[in-house]
Order: sequence, then structure tokens, then C-alpha cells
Amino acid sequence: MGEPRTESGFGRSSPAMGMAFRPGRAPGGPVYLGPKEKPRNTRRTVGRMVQFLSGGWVTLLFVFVLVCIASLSNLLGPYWIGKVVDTFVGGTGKVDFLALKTLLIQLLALYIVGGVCTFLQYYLMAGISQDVVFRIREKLFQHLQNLPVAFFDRRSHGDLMSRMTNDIENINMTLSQGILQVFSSFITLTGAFLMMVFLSPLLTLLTLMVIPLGFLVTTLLSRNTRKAFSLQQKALGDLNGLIEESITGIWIVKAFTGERKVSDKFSRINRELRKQGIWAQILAGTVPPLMNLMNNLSFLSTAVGGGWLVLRGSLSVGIVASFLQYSRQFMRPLNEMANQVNLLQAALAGAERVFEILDESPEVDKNGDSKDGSPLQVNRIEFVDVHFSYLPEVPVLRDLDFEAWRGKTIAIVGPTGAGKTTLVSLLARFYEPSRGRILFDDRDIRTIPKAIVRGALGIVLQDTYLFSSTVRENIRYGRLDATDEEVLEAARMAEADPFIRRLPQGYDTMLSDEGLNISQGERQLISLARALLANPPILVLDEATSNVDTRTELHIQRALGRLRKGRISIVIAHRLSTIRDADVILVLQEGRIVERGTHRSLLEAKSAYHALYHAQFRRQAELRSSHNLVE
Amino acid sequence: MRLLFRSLSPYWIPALGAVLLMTGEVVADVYQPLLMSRIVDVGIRTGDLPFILSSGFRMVLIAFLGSIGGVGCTILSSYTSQSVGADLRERLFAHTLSLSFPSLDTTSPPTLITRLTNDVTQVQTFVLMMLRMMVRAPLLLVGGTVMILLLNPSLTPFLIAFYATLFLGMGLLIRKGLPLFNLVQKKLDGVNRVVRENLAGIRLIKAFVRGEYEIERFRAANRELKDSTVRVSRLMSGTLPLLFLSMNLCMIAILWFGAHQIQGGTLQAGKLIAIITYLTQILHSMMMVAFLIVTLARVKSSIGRIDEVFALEREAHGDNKIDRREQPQEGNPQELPLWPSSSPQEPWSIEFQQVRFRYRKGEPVLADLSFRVEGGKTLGILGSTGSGKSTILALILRFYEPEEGRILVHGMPMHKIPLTVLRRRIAWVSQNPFLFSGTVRENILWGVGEATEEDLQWASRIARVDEFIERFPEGYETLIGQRGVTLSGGQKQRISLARALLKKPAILLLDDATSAVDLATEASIQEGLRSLQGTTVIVVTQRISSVVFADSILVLEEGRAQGWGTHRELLRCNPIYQDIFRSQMEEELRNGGT
Repeated sequence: MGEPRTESGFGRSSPAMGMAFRPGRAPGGPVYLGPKEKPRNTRRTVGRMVQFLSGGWVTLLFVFVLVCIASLSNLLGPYWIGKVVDTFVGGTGKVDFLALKTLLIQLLALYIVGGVCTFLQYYLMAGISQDVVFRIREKLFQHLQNLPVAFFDRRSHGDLMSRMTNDIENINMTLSQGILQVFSSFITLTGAFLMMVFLSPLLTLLTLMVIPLGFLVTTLLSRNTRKAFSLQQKALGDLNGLIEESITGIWIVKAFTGERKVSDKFSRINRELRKQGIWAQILAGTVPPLMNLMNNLSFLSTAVGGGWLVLRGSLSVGIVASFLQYSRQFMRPLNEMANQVNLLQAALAGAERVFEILDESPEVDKNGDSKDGSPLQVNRIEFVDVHFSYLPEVPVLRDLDFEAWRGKTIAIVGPTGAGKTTLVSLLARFYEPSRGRILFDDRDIRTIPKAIVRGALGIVLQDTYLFSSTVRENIRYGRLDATDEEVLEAARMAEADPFIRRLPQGYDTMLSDEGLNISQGERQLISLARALLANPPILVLDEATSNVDTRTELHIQRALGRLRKGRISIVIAHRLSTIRDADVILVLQEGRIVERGTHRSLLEAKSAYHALYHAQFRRQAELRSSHNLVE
Repeated sequence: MRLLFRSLSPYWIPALGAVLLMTGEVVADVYQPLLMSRIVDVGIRTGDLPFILSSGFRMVLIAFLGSIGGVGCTILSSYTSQSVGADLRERLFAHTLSLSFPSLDTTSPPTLITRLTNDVTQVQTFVLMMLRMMVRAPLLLVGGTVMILLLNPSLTPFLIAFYATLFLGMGLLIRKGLPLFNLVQKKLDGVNRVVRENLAGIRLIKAFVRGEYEIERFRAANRELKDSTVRVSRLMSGTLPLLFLSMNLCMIAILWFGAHQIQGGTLQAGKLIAIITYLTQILHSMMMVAFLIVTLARVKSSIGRIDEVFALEREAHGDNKIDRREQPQEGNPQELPLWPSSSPQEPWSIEFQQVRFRYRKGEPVLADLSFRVEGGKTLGILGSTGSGKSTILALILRFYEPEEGRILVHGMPMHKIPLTVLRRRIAWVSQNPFLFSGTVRENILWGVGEATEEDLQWASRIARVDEFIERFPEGYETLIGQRGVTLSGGQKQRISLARALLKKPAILLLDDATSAVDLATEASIQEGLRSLQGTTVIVVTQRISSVVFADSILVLEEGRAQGWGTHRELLRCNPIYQDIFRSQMEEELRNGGT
């Protein structure tokens, strides 16, 4: 909404300020005419919004009744004042005090009723709208949890975030203020028009003369304003992108003395933003003074025309006074409504974006998603002829065939991009194979609920995501009901305990959002502890210790060795030292298993593994010779 | 607040102009009801049509003048606010870029970003509002009051009562409302945090089947947000109708009182109508004032946050001014010769003398560290996670200053070398590769601006970028990041290595720079690195195989040098090195003979 402008009439105006007081966005100020957005299917979107009302129906109806009453009292006020004016317009000694008294008491009652209704309508609406927004947020979040990983890989997080925050905030605004305002504006508009026609059709014509002119001016301006705002928005987006990038990568900027380069680029976009911003603000800011002019002109034509009519004796001064007020009541909602309708449309477009996510089909699980079911014991995992591709024409995994047994460790090695991590994604059912099957004890995992499959896996993922919470809580994420003692035990096993103790607050140290305050290696250790705490029948380590130093890694290896009994271990590594003990090593290249066997047999085969191995240990030939020096 | 006025001061002329023009509009607005009352009292009462028309004409004229003032104010205030915003943004950005690393450690990137984007915009919007409303509201308030008192001084008690109610209501609103608004904002941040974490950590959440737990967590945050929002909305829904009601009560009282005065002949009907019009104006300007106070509180915290950044210490060294004003505007950095590609490159030596260092708080990270690398030689630094290896590199880059001791570069105390010169001659490949959005070529050229095709090929050959870049249909022009291809960790590391090599640095710092690169590729990269002439190389690693061929190796353990020498020397007599060696080799040796 725009600046609260002066009301040169009298009487009350609707408490639209409530909106301006809301935090979270820059309210008031200039009229914001953002890029015009139109919902694609208004009726359907509104229909879906209505579903979120659930029990709020009755209250909402009541609120609309209240809006009607409040608007009516709003409308009747000027009429009453006109009558009041007529009681004293005669001048000295001719005031009709009896009528005045009655009229003022009636007016008082009118105002009180109006005030109470306004209060009640906003009070009730706050509950309803927040309930709806709460439900939409909740529904959306729940839905996000059920969407497949592929969805998150495909979508930009910034976009999802903006739907979850900005779009919902827009819905919130519209629900708590917009709808009521549009409705009451509509009633006021129609009512004022009817009252005016009822009081004097001729004066109505005079009053409304300037309206087409006002319309013309605002339409012309707002069309250009929108263009200017979208240009401004674009510059702002570019600038924010640059800011984000150069601050996230400030180490590199500084190390490469790229400050000049970055700030020159910044200045260029900043200048553009300033130019577009000035234009947009000027165009948008011109509307209120021009509308003020229109108001004043309309006021004038009413006053002059009314005066003339009074002189001719065809109207009373009171009616002119009422008219002056109605002309305000007519112009103001007219100004506001254009704005409100824009906001409403933007909110609906936002709602559509939210619903678009809700329309994404969740992870299919034909087998119900029984989340609790007994934990799965798995003795054997088998990949049968598994094929997979993200894009139809680019196969990532081909003819994958292997078995993993309980108590055994299976290692997967291969160059970057060979498909190792994809294999884990298939195992966790993040993605489904495009052909072939993955079996847990001869049972196709597609027939097992995802939650159960994943519950059986303890995965240390390559990207070691940590939550902004304490170290202890991050480890406990592996098993929520674990005691502090068990957390400690897991940390010890993962060799994370020593460094955690050196942190400022030990296990209670808060980790920042992206875990930036600890090193990559340390993050891996915490992730490992987290997975170990879960104590799963299948342990999957995807480059779990690639940034951990070798001695610590060796200790971890020993600890893991003890854990291997009774579970299936799948280890992905490019550091061959970590997998030498594996019972089976698969060498993956371009999505195919090109070799399999034990470390020894593979070395003897002198093929792909041998080459990999010697690439890594090439220089260790020399090391070996120098080894004699140690003893 | 000082910040605000300082930013505004270069634009005081347009700002003053905006204020004056706005005053014009307000005077016009205040004048209108008075003219109208004359139409009623003089024109209508005496039946003087020409008077009505001439008054009408004057009203049109004044309305026009007022609009000119309004539009003029809009133009000047838009210009001023956008310029202030742009200047502030630019200054803040330049300052942020020049912050020292100890300062950067005290803030996180997201908060810096918010300050540059959101907070600056808040200030900008506020300046715009200030120039329009902050002048308009008090002027209307004063103008309206003066007019009422001029028209009828006997209404003073009513006005006092009216003001008292308004002040009370506004005070209540601000006292109760403000903390609630802040609370809502905090709860909203809480909800957003859960969402952000869930988007970033979705694989983890799914892998651990923690959907229900997260939904529970979100529900709690969501409920708190809802409850606090409802509280604010209800407060607002109670206060505002009350304010309007009080105004209406006052109006009824004035009508009653005024009617008596009319009866007594001391007041005319038109004047009474005008008085009531002024009352409405006063109420609205009061609302504007309250609204401004709320905004002011919010802007104050924005300004406070911006000031915090300005208060942070910049990197020492006067010559590192990247302040744009000191540099020619049109200076295209891409044309600056960062390294004279023809002149012979001279490698730099590095010497640490009794260096002690600790981060802001906490235990010493480096203690009494001394070592020396001759120019052109390779130093390997070996140590476990958290032993302080990367910190050594950070000190060489002068990201931090040693607490005690000193570092000599090229035989000179490091702080004598201008920071830009130092960093231009040092290249660094960090643990986590960071690439900018743009093409692969732009990223490799990032450190130097431009290079010959030959040099580009050379760098990408050594870093083995050539190996995968050929598979991209667009080669070096391939876009990376959001709108382009997603690179694997190893590919990113290789690009960032090529970026460093292209600088043809005097010192090359490699911090576990090939940890995500597969082994065969890594071996060939190391091969290439050994062929580098004219560069001192420092390799930080946990792997012995990466440092075997180093001219000297520093064994670091909890920030102290625990060994120094060549691979052979260390193997012979350094127990820690032997231990590390065994941990990496024993299996290897057991399998020996293959």
C-alpha cells in the first residue's frame, strides 16, 4: 500500500495501517508496483487455498459479516455528518439542538459499532490467516521431506527457499490484510457511489468527472513503473549474486588480489542499479502526488458545483458536506484497489508456485511407507544387472553385478566420475535403477519401504553436512535416543574424540551453519561418529576419511575392523591404503565393473587395479628401498 | 545514526530541495480546507457565485502548485535515496573486501551478505521515506494544529485531550509492539533456518530416515512463528480501531461544542467543517509518525549492523587500498600487467623465525616455529588433521599476522612487502576449491586477467584440466555453477590448480590440493609440478607419497616442528615420521614384491 496521504475530508478511514506495521518487509514508503505477476489459474488456486481453511469457515463467514457492518458504518458516517451540518448551518441562533443531540448520539453509536466490528474482524482474521499459513508451511515442509532426492538435485535451493519464505509471506500478507481490504474497498466503493447517486445525481457526475483522468494517468504511469521495477530487480539480482559469490569466496579473492576486479564489476552493476532504482522510484513516487491532485480537483468540483447547487436551492449544505466526504471515500479505495489487486495477484502467483511443489509427486513407495516396522537384518546384498542413467542418453552405471555378504567388506575403487557415488544413491533408493534389481536377501529393495531400506544403512556421505547445533547433537543425529555415553563411545570409535575435546566447549561447541569453523577432516570424523552411532547392519562409507590424516585413518581402520563382524561394509575410496583389507575390491570405470578380486589377486592380474595402484604408489618403490634405513 | 548523516551529507542539496518542495505540498494541503470553509461561510451564505468560482480557481491553482511540489520532492528524494544507498553499498563492499582475516573470522559470510543486501536496502528505503514522510508528517501536524487554533482558539482543551489519547495509544503501540515485531522476525529466521538446513542436508536426512524428526522440528519453529505473529496482529487490531474511535469521539465533542458556538455566533459552519478536516489530517500524520518510529527502530538496527562491519579492522598496510577513489575509474583491471610474462621469474625464499600464532581465542596453533626454504625448492609439510599445516600457508599469504617471531620472504621481513605485491607473487590452492560463476576459461584466468592461449594450455596441461575439458562440448567456454555444468570435486580442484599455476608465482602453496583427484591423475599432476622452474613450492599434506621428493620436509605435530630433513634423513632418525611412514606403508610393504 502507499503512503498514508492526507485526508482532507472528515470521518474515519479504515485502519489499513495494520499492514504497514508488519515486520519482515519494507512497508509503506513508495508504492511498490513489482513486476506484474498474474496467476495462471486463479479459480483453481483460490480453491486450493480454501482447502487450507479447514475449520475456519464459520469464523471467516462471520468476519465477512463484520466487514460488511464496518464498511456500512463507514458509509453512513458522512451521511450523518451531513445531517449534523444541516442542524447548524442556519447560523447564529438557529441551531436545532434537539435534532443535533439525537444525531450525535446516533453517530456515536455508529462509530462504536464500526470500531468494534473493525477490531473483531482483524482480531479474528489474525487467527484464521495464521492458521492457514501455518498449515500451508507445514504441508509444504512435509511434502518436501517426501520428495525424491532427484527433485532437490534438479532444483536450485535458492528458488525453493524463496518459495518457502517469500511466497508464503506474500500469502500471509494477503490473507491477513489484503482480502479484507479488497472486500471492504469494494463495499465502500459501491456504497459510496450509491449514496452519492441517491443524494444528488448531478453532483455525482461533477464529483466523478476527474476519475477517467486519474485512471488514465495511473495506468500510463504504472505500466512504465512495472518495467522500471523489473529492470531494477534484475540489477539487484545480479548485484546480490556478485556479493554472495565474492564474500563466500573472499579467501580466493584476497589470495589472488582480485579485489580490484571484483569491485570494478560491483561498481558497474551498482551504478546500473542506482540508475534503474531512481527511475523506478520516481515513476512510482509520482503516483501519490498526482492522485492527490486528482483528489483535490474532485474535491473542488464538488465544492464549487455543490455551492452553486446550494445557491440555486436544490441542495442543502449538509448534503454537500456529505458529498465531499463521499468523494474521498470513493477516490481512496479506487487508488488502493488497483494496488491491492496487484498484491493479491502477486500472492496468488506465489501460491501457485507453492502448490507447484505440492504437485510434485512424492517418492513412490507402493509398499506403503510404514516408518516403523522391525529393523531389517540383511545378510546379503546383490546387484543384478543394474543400469542407471540420470539423462537417458548418458549411462552412468552399466551391467552392474555383484554381491556383498554379512561380515565382509566390499570396496569400490575407480577414477572420479566412474559412478561410485551413484551406486550409493541407488542403494539408499535415492534413485531407482533404470534396469536391473538390487536385492537384500533375495528381496528386491523396491518391495521394501524406503524408510526400512535406509534404516538398515549407515551412510557417511561424501558431502559431510552438519547442522548448526552442538557437536554432541550432530553425532546424536545418528540415533536420537542415544545416551551421552553412547555418543562419546561413537566419537571415540571414529577417532573424533581427541579433537572434539580440544574445541572451545568440547562436545557442546556450536557448529555454524555449514560447519565452517572446523576443518573438512574434522567434519568427516563427526559424520563417521554419527553413522557409527546408528549401528546399522550395512555400513556405507563414501570417501568417508579422504581428508583425515593417515595415522588417524589407520586407527579408524582398526576400529572399523572390529565392527565388521555381523555387518556388511561397503567402502568407496580412492585412497587405496584404506581398502587393502577388503574381501572383494571392485574396480569401476565409466560405469562398468572392469575388474574384481582381492587386493592380492588384482595386483597379480596386473590390469586396471594394478595401474591405479602403481599410479598411487609409484614413488613408493623408492620408499621401499629406503625402508631398510628404518630398522 | 551518524552513518546515516554521513552518507547523506554529499547529497545535502537535493535532500534540502526535496524537503522544501515537500513543504510546498504540505502548505497547499493545509490551505485547501481553509479555502473550502470560505466557500461555505462567505460564498454560500451570501450567495456570491463569483466568490465561489474565484475561490475554486484559487484552489485549483494551489492544488497544482502542491502537486508540483510533490512530484519535485519525489524526483529529488528518489535521486538522493538511491544515490545514498549505492554509495553506502559500494563503501561497505570495498570495506568488506579489505577486512582482515581475524575480523572475517568473527562474522560469517551469510551475515556479511545480509548486511550488504538487506540492511543497505533498508537504509535506502528509509532515506526515501524520511525525505518524504518525515517532513510531511510533522508539518501536517503543526499546520493542522495551528489552523485549528487560528480558526477557533477555544478548542484548545479538546486538542489537548485528543493529543493525549493519541500519544498514549502510539506509546502503547511502540512499547508493546516493537519487541513483538522483533520476536516475530526472530521466529521467522528460525523457520527459515530449518528450511535451509533441510534443503542443504536432504541426502543426510533421507539416509538417516529423519523425515519425521525434521517435520517435528519444523512444526515447533512454525508454531512459535504463528503464535508470535498472531500476538502482534491482535495487538494491532486492538490499537488501531481504538485510535480512530478516539478521534471520532473528539470530533463528536467538537461538533457539539461547535454547534453551541455557532448558536452563540462565535463560529461559522464552514469553519467547523474545516476544523474537522484538520483533525483527520492530524490523525493521519500521527499515524505516519508512529509508522516512522517503528521503521526507524528497524533501520537503527540495520545501521548498527552496518556500523559493526565498518568497525571491523581492515588488513594492515596502506598500499592495499582497494578504495576505488584512489584509482582511475576507467582502469580496466584486465589490462593491468600482473606479471610481466617476458621477464624472468625469480623464486622467493621463505623463512620462519620463532613464529608463534594463535587464532583469536584458544590454544596456540603454532609454537616457536622456525624453518627456511630456499627459492625454487620444494618444502613438504606433513602432519595430522589439526596440526597447524594450513595455518602456515595462511601466514605466508599474510591472512594473519604472527603473534611473535617474524617471517622473511625473499630475505625481507614480510610486512615490508606491499600486500598486493606479495599476493600477486604467491599462488594458493585451497583445500576446498572455490570457483566463480562463469566459464572454465574465466575461472582459470581469474588470477591474471589475461594470458596467452599458450600459457592457458600449459597451465591446464599441468593441472590436468585438459583431460576432462575436452569432453565438454563447449570446452573452456563451458559455464559452471547454477546455470552450467556441475563439476566433481576433483575437477574443481584441478581448475583451481590451473588458476594458481597461470599466475606463474614465485611461491606456490598447495593445501591438500589434489585430495579429490583420482590417483592416476594425481600422479601425473605431481609429475608436472616437479617440472616447474622458478617457483618455490610448499606442499601441505597428510600423505608421505606427496612429499617424498620434496627438498625438505617439515613434520608438524600440534603446532610444533617435530622433524626437519629429507625423506631419507627423517626415515633414519625421526620417530614420528617413521610412525607415519609405517601407518601408510606397512600394508604396502607386506605386499611387497608385486
